[in-house]
Amino acid sequence: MNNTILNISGLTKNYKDFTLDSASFEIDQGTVMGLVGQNGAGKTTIIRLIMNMIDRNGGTVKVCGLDNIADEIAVKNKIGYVSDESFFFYNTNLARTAKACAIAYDNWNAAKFADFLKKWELPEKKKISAFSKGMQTKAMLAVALSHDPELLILDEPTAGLDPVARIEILDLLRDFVSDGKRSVLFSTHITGDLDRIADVITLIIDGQIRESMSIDAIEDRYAVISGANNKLTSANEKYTIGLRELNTGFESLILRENLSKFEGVSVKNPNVENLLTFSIWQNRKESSK
Amino acid sequence: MTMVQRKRAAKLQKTMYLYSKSGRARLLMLLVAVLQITIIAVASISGIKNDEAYLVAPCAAMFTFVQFMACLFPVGVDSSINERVTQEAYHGSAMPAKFMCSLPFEARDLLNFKVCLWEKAAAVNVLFVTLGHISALIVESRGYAVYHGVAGLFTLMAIIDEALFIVPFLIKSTKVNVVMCVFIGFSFSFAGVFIDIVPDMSADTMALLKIFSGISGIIIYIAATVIIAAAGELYIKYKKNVSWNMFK
Repeated sequence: MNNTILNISGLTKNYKDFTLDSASFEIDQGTVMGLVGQNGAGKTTIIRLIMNMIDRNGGTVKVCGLDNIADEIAVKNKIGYVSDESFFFYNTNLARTAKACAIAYDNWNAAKFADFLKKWELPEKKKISAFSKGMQTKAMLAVALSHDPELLILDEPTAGLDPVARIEILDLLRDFVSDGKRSVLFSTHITGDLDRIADVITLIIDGQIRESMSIDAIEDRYAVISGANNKLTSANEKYTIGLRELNTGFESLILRENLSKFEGVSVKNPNVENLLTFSIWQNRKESSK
Repeated sequence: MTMVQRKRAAKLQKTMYLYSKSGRARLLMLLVAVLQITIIAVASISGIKNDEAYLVAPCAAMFTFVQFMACLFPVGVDSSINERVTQEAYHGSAMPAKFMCSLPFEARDLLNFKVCLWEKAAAVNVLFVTLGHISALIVESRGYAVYHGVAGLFTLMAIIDEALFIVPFLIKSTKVNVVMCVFIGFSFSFAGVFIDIVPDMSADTMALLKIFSGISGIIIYIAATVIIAAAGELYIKYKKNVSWNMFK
């Protein structure tokens, strides 16, 4: 039985000064995937394409086996979406928002929405524009979760939140997938969030998917090495990824299979931040050639 | 557009109106329009008598007012206000647009919704102009000069129509809206021309021309409605890869 919730294949979007180049990855049921990359890498473009907010130039997006354009209504009923900024109409309140959602969604659960408002102390009648950033994010989450979605898509949900609100939202995402049937895709450049809850990360750099792998596999596949500059030779330099040379020594990411090429260096396990930053530096190095 | 598509477009419209202040403003303006039609109907059918000449002047003024509103209300209500709501979702800032787009509607529903608005705007135009002409003809048949001096106003309305709606729509580039406004502008211009060539519209000998003038205006509006509807249908039918197209 196919347990893939989201399947993206060859997704392409051409802008004048940016191209999302044939992005492909999958999210299985019960998985939290972090879409990670620097600002402008293409994370938000992927999310907009999944939501059919923009025309695509190629590729397919399938949610629970349904095409996101041909079956847009069914797909939107299965997706809970949280934007990086409050997406509600200006000067509206949550009571009116709930009425609009009740018309639009097939399976809108008003009681569940009311529970979320109560739990997060969100005032129903207060203008949303007067909410704090944390309250706005929670309001979007309340809307996203109250129609029983199978896939939650969040575009930098924790950016600008205080630490307590961040942790609460991350815990909520973990709870969301705990039944093993639902999944989360969230984009972020706060790598600490990914270390905390992501099962899988997809690394995107300059519009290209560089990696899509489980968090555990990062340590299996990569290592961070550091040492004196004299340990770096013309023979082993080609195995480095995002090499940083300082007066005090060098530091680099390498494939673990290439560890034997380096002698007398310190080795540590990489985290998501290491993978991201060294990959970006490597990309800059290649671009400048 | 199929009935299913129309239903979904109506559902989208309902969601938008429920959710936006301009939608509620539209309903209020429609109420005013209904009130106006009622006043006109009462005044034109029962308010005019040969020995009550003092009623004619305000009635005539009212008819010019109707013609003016025939431009302002339908286009203003069904295009401008609706369009504003639509544009909040379609062209507007990312904040409201993202919300509408996240709801379970097809991007094509928005196109259907817009075409429904264009059709409705044109249809309401026909209704208002028809009512205006019929009412005017009733009063004319009683020997009063309703159309006298109105010719210039028609032309003025055409200019106002174009200034108010064509220029903004050109900037916001919704082609069918531009076409609609051009038709409305032409309609008023034609009506103005037809009236202008008649030296004395209150003379009984010109009754046929007066009727022709009225009917021609109506025909032009109906033709505009049909063309707008057809253009809308074709636009939807042949537009490929429809997305919400919010971030250009």
